[in-house]
Amino acid sequence: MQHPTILMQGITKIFATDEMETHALRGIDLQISSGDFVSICGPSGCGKSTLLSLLGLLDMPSGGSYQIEGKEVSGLSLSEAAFIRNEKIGFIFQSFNLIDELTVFDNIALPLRYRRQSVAKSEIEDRVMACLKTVDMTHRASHRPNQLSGGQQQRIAIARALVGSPALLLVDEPTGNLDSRNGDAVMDMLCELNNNGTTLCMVTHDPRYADMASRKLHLLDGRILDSDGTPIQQHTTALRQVAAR
Amino acid sequence: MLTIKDFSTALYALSKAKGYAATVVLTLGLTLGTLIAMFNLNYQILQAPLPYADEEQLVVGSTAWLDKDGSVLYPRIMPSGLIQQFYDKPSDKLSAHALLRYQTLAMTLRDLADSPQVQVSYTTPGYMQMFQMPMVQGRAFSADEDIGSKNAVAVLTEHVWRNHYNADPALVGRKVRIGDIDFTVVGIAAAAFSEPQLLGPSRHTDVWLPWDMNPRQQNISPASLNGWHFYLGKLKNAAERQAFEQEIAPELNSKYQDVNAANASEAGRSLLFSAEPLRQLLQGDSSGRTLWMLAGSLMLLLIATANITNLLLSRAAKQQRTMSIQAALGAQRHHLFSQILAELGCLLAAALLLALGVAQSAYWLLQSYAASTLPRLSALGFDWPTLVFALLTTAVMALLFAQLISRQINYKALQQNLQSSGKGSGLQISSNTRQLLICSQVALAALLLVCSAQVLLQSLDQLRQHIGFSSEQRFQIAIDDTTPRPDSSLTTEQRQMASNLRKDELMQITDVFRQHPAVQQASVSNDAPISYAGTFSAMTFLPAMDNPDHIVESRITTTDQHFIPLFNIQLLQGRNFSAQEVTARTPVVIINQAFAQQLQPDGQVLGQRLYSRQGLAYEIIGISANHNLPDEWSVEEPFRSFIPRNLINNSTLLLHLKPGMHIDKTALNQMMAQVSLNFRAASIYSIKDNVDRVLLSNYLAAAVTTALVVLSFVLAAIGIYGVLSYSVQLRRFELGVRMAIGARPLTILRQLLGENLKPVLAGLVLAAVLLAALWLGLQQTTLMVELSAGGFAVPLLLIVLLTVLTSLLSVWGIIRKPAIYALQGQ
Repeated sequence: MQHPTILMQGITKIFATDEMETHALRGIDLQISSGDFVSICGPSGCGKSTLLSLLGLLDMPSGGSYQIEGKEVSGLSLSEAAFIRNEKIGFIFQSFNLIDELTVFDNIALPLRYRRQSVAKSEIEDRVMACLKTVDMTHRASHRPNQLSGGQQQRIAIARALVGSPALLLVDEPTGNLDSRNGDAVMDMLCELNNNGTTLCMVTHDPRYADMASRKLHLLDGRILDSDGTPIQQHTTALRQVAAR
Repeated sequence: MLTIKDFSTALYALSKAKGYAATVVLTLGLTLGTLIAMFNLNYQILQAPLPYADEEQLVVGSTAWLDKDGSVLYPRIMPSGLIQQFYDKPSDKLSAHALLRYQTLAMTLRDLADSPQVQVSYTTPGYMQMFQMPMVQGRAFSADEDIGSKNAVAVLTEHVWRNHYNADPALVGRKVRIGDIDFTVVGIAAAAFSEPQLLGPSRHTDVWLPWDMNPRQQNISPASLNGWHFYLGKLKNAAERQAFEQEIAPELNSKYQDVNAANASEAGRSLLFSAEPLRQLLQGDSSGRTLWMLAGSLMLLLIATANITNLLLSRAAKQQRTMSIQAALGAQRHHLFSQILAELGCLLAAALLLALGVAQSAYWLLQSYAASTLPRLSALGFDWPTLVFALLTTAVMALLFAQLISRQINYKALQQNLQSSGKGSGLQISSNTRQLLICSQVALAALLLVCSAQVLLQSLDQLRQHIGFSSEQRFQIAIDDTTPRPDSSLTTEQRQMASNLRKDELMQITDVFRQHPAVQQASVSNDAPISYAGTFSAMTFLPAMDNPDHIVESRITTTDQHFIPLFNIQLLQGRNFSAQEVTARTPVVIINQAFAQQLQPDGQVLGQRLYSRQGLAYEIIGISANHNLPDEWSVEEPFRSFIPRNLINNSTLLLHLKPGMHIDKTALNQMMAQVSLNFRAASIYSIKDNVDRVLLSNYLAAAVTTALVVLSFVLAAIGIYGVLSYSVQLRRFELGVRMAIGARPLTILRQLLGENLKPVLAGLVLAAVLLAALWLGLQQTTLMVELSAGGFAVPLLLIVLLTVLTSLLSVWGIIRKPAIYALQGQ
C-alpha cells in the first residue's frame, strides 16, 4: 500500500527556557495524502508557524512520530533533515525570501545545486526554465529580485519551490505581502498546481483562501480542532492503523 | 554639543555591553599605549632638547684613520698627543673646549677594603663647564687642574659617594686612592647630571680625573692613535662647525704626516678630523631602530583601528532599533552623531588611561632591558609633548570613528525602519565596506606578521647558533694593575723586559689560581673572547714583507697555552701553543678561519708567516674555528689572531670554575697578593653575561617581535572575527532561507569560506605588494635583511587558517541549530 505523504502522530513541541515551558503543539495527529490541498487556520500564537516548521523539518518535534512517505524523520540529524527538505519539500514564504544577490535563474536553481547527487548543468537549466514557464516569468530569468514586483517575486518563489519536484509544498501566508489582485493570481496558481497533482499544505489567515483548500484544519492552543471547535478524535484511530501497517 | 546626560546615557549603555566595551578599551589601550611609548622614545632621541645650554653649539671632535685608498681603517680615533697641541692653542671659533678620555683599564677605589671597580674618565675643566655639571658637594675642576698642573684631584659621582662613602660630607677634601695615586676629592657631581655618553648608553663615568693623570698620556708617542679619546668644543656660532673642521683637519693631518715621515708602512695614510654635532653622536644609529619600532606600533594601532571599526559598526547595527525610534521621534543625524561620540568618548577615555599605564610599563621595560643599547632612556616619561600627542591621537580617533559610523548609518532607511514593523534593514554596512575592512585588516596584519616573523627568525637563528666558544662557568677578572709602566726614556729592550716581568707575574698568579679547589683552569690574556667592556685590541699584520701596502687588521689576543682549551675553542688545523713557546715568547700565531681564508681562499696556511710592522715573522701554527657572535663593532666574523707574546697594556685573568663552584674577590686578591701587591681584582665578570649582553639586541628583537607577532595575530583574529561575525549576523535570514531549501551545514560553511577567502586573498596580495615595496626600499638602505621562506609561509598560512576558524566560529551558532532559528533571527 502506498504511504501517505505526511503522517504525524502525537507530535508535541515545547519551547523551554530556564524559567518556563511553552507548549506550542500538544499532540498533533495529521495525515496528508498525495494530491491533498490542506489549509491550516487559526489565531496568532495558536501554533500554525510551529506546525509548518515541523512539517518542513525546519525544526524538530519534542515528541511524537513524523513520517514523510513512510520514512520516520523526527530524529534526523541537521544534515539528513536538509537532504529530505531538499528532495521532498518545497517552501513558499510570506515574504518570498529570495536572495537579493542572485538572479532569478540562480534563485530558482538553488535547490538543485544543494542536491545530494550533483545535477548536470543542462538539466538544471531545463528544469529552471520549465518552472519559469510554469509561473510565466521566463523573460525575467536574468533579473534580480529587487527589480521585480511583489507578485512577481512570489511567483519566482513558487518556481523555486517547484524546481526540485517535491512531494509536498509548504506554503506560509503566500498572499500576506501582496495586494488582492496579485494574491488572487498566486492562489490561482497554487490551485492549478494542486489540480495537476501537487500536494499542498498552506497556512493562512485569510478564510477566503483557506476555503480554496480541499481540507481545512483549525488550530487553537496547539491542538487541531474539528469544525465544531472540539479536538479531532475520530481520525486518530485510523491514523494509528495506517502507521501500524 | 555633548552634555553630561549624553555621557551618563553612554555609560549606562556600555555597562550593558561589558564584553564589547572591554574589547575596545583593551585593544585600543594596548596599541595606543605602545604608540605613545614609541613616540616618546623617538621624541627623546630625535627632538627633545639635550640638558645642556646652547646644545646646538656643542661638537665632538675625533678623527677617522684613512688608508691609502681613502677607506676608513678606524673611525673615531684620536692622535691624543697631537690633539693636545690644539687644546693648548684653541681655535677662535670656540668659546669653550675640553679633552676627554675614557679609561679602558679596570680601576678600583683602593682605599676601600672591598676595592670596588670604578669607571674613570680623564678630562679638563672645560668639560664640566660646557655640560654644566651640578655639584652636591664641593666644586668642579678649576683652571688650577688644567693640563700641566698635575694636580691629583677627583670629582666623584653622587652614586659612588652614597654607595661607597655613605654620603659622607667630609669626603670632599679627603683623599681616595685610585690605582697607585691618592686623589683629593674636590667635588661630588649631582645625580641629576646627565653625562653625555659619547661611547653609547652602556658606558658611564664614576670618577673624573684631570687629563694629566691619564697614565697613557704620560708616555704617549705623538704618532700613537687611540680610541675613546675626544676633543669637545663649544662653538661661538653653530653655523661655523664646518669652518672649524676645515681649520683643524689639514693642520692635524699635516702634523700626523710629519711624525710618521720616517715610517714607510704609514706612507699614504692620513687622518680626517671631524666635529660632529653632539646630538648626532649621542643619537648614533639608534634612531633607525626606534623609527622602525614607531612604525611597528603605528601599524599595530592601524590594525586595532580596523578592528575597532568593525566592532563599532557591529555595535551600531545592534543599536538599530533604538536609533530607529529616535529617528521616528525626530532625532536628526547630528543627534545620533552626538550619541555615538559620547559613547566613543567614554571608551577612548578609558583606553587612554590604560594606554598611559601601558606606556609607563613600556618605559620601565626599556629602561630595564635596553638601557645599554638605546640612548636617553632615563628621560622617558610623560612630558608635555607626549601628553599632547596622546590626547590629540585619542581625540582624532574618536572623531574619525564617530564620523565613520555616522556616515554608514542610512538615516533615511532608519526612519522607514519602524514603518516596516522592524523587518527592514536601516543600518546595514555595505558589502563593499565589509570587504574593504577585511582586506585592509588582512593586508596590515600580514605585513606586520611577515616583517615580525622575518626579524624573529633572524634573531632566533643567531640565538640558536653555537657562539664558537664555551661560556658556562667561565669568568673574566678585570685587574687593577698598579705595576709601574716602563718609561718612554727606557730602551726597547728594557721596556720589553719590564713587560716580560709583568707577564711572568701574571702567569705565576694563574699557577696559584690552578691550585684553588674551585678552579678548573686559569689563563691570562689581554682580552676575553668577549670582554665585559666590549673592548678588543687590534694588530696589523703584513702577509708579505716585500709588500707593505698589503696589510691585514686583526683582533689580537696575547695569551698563554691555556686560553684556547679553557674556552673550548675548536682548532680546525694545526696545534695550540706549547708551554715552551709561551715561556720563550716564540713568534708563533694561531689565526681564525676567516683570517686564513683571507690569506688563502682554501684556508691552507699552516706554516706560512705573518709579519708585524716591525718586521718580526710569526709562523702560523693553528687555525681556529670562527666565532658566531657579531658585536657592535662587526656584524661579520672579524679576523682574529692569538699570540703567546707580551701582553698589551691591558691584561685580564680568565677562570674556568668547576661545576657549582664560586670564587669571590677576597679569595682572588689573597691569591694575587702571594705573587704581587700591584694586582687586585677589580671585578669578576661572567663570560656568559658578557655573551648575553652582546646578544641582548637579539633577545630584545626576539622578545619584541614575538610580542608583535602575538599581538598582531590576536588583533587580526579579533578583527577578522568581528567582520565575519557581523557579516554573518546580517545574513542570518538569508542563510536560514538557504537551509530551508536544503543547504546542509557543511554547504553553508563551504560557501561562506569561499566568500570570506576572497577579501582575505585580496588582502594577502596587497600585503605582498607592500612587502615588495618595502623590500625594494630596504635595498636602498644599509640595513641587512636575511629573508626566510618560513617567515613568509607561516604568517600567510596562519591568516588563512585564522579565516577558516573565524568563518566556522561566526557561522557555528547558525548551522548547529535547525533552520527555523535562523529564519526567526534567533
